Amino acid sequence: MIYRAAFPLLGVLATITLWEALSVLNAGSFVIAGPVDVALWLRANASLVGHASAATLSAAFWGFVWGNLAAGAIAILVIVLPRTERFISFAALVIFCLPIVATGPILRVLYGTGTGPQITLAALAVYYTTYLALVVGLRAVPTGWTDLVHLYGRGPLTILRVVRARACAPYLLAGLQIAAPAAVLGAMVGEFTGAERGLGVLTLRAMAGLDVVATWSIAVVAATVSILAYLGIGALSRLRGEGPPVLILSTGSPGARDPFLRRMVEAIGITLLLLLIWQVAMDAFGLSQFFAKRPGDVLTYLGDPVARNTLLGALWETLIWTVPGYAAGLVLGAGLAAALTLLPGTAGLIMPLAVMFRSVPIITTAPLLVLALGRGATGTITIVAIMIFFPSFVACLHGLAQTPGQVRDVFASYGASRLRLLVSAQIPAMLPAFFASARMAVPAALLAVTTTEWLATGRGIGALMALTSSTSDYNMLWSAVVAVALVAVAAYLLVERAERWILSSYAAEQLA
Amino acid sequence: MHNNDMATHDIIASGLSKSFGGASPVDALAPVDITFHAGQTTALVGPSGCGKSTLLRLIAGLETPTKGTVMIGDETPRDLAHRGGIGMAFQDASLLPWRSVHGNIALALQLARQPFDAAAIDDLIALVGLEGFADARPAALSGGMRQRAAIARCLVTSPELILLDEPFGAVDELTRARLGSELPPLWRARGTTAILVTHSIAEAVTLSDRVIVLSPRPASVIADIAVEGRTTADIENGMDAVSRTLAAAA
Amino acid sequence: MTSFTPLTRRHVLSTGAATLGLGALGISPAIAQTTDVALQLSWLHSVQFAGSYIAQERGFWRDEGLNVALNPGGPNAPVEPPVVAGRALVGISAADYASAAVAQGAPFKIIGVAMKKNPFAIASLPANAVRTPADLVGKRIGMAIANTPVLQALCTLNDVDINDIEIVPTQYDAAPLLNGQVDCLLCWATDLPVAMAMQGVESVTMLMADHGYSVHSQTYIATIDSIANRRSDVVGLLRGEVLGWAEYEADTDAATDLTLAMFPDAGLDPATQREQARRQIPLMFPDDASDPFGWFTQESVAANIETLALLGRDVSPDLWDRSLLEDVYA
Repeated sequence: MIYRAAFPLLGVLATITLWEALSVLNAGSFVIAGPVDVALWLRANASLVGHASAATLSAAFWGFVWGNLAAGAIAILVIVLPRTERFISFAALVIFCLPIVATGPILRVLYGTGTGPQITLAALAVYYTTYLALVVGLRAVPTGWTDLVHLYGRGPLTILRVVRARACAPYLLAGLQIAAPAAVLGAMVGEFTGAERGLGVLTLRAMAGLDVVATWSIAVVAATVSILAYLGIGALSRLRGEGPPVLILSTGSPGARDPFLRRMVEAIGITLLLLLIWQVAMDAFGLSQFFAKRPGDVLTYLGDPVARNTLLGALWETLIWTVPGYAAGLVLGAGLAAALTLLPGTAGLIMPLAVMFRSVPIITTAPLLVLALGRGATGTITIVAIMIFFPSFVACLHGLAQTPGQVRDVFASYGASRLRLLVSAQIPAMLPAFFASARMAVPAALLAVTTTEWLATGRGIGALMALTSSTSDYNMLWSAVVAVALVAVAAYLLVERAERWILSSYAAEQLA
Repeated sequence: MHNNDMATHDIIASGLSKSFGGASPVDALAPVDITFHAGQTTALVGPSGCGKSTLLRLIAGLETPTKGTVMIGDETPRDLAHRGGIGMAFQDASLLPWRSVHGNIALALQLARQPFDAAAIDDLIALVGLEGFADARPAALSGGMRQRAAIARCLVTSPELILLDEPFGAVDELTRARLGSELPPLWRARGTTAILVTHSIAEAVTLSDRVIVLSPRPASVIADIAVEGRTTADIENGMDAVSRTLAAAA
Repeated sequence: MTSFTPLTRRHVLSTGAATLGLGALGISPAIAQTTDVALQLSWLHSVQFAGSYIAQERGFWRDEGLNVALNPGGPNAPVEPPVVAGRALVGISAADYASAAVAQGAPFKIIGVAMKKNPFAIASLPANAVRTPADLVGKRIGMAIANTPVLQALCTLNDVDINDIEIVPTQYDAAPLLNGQVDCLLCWATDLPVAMAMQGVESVTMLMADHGYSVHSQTYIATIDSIANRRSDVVGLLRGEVLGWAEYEADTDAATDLTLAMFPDAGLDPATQREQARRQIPLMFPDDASDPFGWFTQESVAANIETLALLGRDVSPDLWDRSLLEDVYA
């Protein structure tokens, strides 16, 4: 088994070697800097990077804390008052899908100076995945445990305190693992709203200054921090004896089996409630109508066919590349997971690579990948795919491992090949995990594509939002925000429908 | 531990029924009238899915009756539960995996708002034969050991009533036989009323003073058999009686 | 937390990072009389705003009874909204953005112009140079799609058909030019060409302002309300700017050193900053204009209105209000 333990190390070494080779091959192209150059640069600029990291990481840390606390609070609310779940889940999804290009400037105006926007954006980047993990974890309690509490005449709050709070720990830790890199990214993007120091500031500086070595060095720092946080939380969960990391199989929206009409009516009701909250929040903060548009403004504005066509045109431009990227990322994740089960042991080799890929902040990777792969479909599709590939890969690996032992034994007794087992038993067993990750990938894909459009390709709705905020066309900006949020929710519901349809024939027990 | 070791009240189920589901309800329990005598151990047997577990859960106050009542003296099950008067052992032991054996037993005291009593817990652990495993997590125990821990937890609050829902269902035959002989004296000695749900006729007769046979769903009482003594002959007579009743019902 | 130990200016300068913090605490003998105001910058801290740093470090604003916070901007930072919301007294925008904001209902005036010549430029490599707008024909130009109206205006002004130019969307980055993905870049004369020079790449820069593109840049904006009700603060802020930028013009290297000392964590490259500071001079203090810093003439306003019309903005001369500068220079 020693050779397996060495695989992660080999994976890291292979990655570094590959990276150095690529940088040597692309020398002079201003696209990639190798590990040697990066190490030298970091040594020469240790104090600068130290200060920047301190600024960004402290914002990321506080965002991580607040975001996860908020996630905990709403998850507990949902558990204690199940009736609130539909609204909260829906609102949480919508808020998570609000594009940073739009929320950043608004937060900056709200906070004035300081690190408020960085912390808030970091918090917004983490709360949703933690919320999903917590809801699943808090629910994942055998009825025997809750019966035990009821037996002594105690109520839901005691169950929450004594049973659920502790039972959800592995799920919480798994959620926090996903959240850590997101917090770093959120804090970096927050600096784009105006900051004096930080890794985001340095990234901008390095990119504008054509300083590829600096760009890569900062990306390496951010990625390293993310990986360390990922590994640290993983180690924490092993230390606590939680056993292997759990798979966050978030359940679909509650009531997904209700009649379509009823769900529609409910969706409309929830939408109206969100619109009301939007209006009231804007008024409560006394935000100027100049930039803080209300629902009515957007509705009036979209009455103009020219505006509507501009918006829909940009949205279409975005979607035609997001959808293939999304599909490619999911297929890649599932495919790689399946391939790895055919070659057992290689998971250790691939995992570090996959974690690294996922941890490099998209604001660095997007421009670099676009430069390397072109500004057309390939670049954008690749970035979206990379952003969502990792969660789907991890989920599918877990899913494949779920195949019951007896089923494996039956296949083995007939002398079936690994491939046969994979196709006939493991892939069907993987489907629920695959779909859970497909749903969670919807907001991630939109984040990836709008960020890429904003920072690199300058097309689609991401660029439209950046443009409208610089030309004070806040009507269009808010309309775009609404459009992106609607697309996110619609896509989520669509994936959920596909999930129910496919699972009903392959894994009916999951729908019980 | 609590003062009144001796249970004084019969448990009286009158017109008790339960159905599940909204639009097209399924009857889990037809209206039954049963009195469980104070200080006795009563076994409920019957075919799978006949509703014996439902009956037990109604007595525990874990379900609300569709019709009828359960009264213990002038108290409802929930009143009794509130003061830790009911102990229950579940089919799967239901130990919290992150607590040690000791911690799981202590949890019942905490939930029943009774003072923490380390010595009493240690005594119970010894009584169920788990000495040396007080600090072990459930994952490190065998199925039989887990059940013994669950029984200890069920007894720690000195309940007037204990409910055992197939407590040995997940245990192998040998262990089962041993637990069946070792455990009942623990509650018999205190005069605790006990109600046991089981699939096994042998277990029912061995452990109990009385066996109530239920019909297939929706359950109703088809026989009420007293087990007169503890001798092998008494038990064989009891098993014959129960088997005949079940065969007649089928 | 506030220390009243007298500090010499040299001491403040030498402590570098502490400067801003102390400035924000308002350490000065006139502590009771200072008014806190904010100047919203349009980008991250750099020599682009060195005149403001000089004003702060030399106490020009303190002398006006002002304690000015310099709020950094960024790619996702709002400039106009903080001014509208009253979070910043004055903002640094540009005539095109300011007029767009006004068209959206923002009650602004342009009260001063730091860059009389617009910094937009076409950068290319000598082997395939773009020296006049006519050279653009048949070229691939890398630019943010958002800037298409800018290129359109340049083409219209110089009788070039924009359809003869291939637009390739790029952002914030000179690499596409160096990799041969494009033949030229639409950028600021003070950013990407400087970056390329620092990497040892010589480039040709065609300033659009030299070919009829007249859009005031780095303009000071304030709300009509502030101009009416906080006039002395606005004038004081402008006066500090005027004094600061005068020192900047006299010695850009010293201004660069100050910038680097005040923002040691901003990741500023000294050579790049020095070069950028030099290249800003002809934009802010053009040879052909004898006007002092910030000033704008009726003719330049007229030319701006004409160019802005090509950008699709219908602007009236009312957008500009020179009366505050007139107070400064009175």
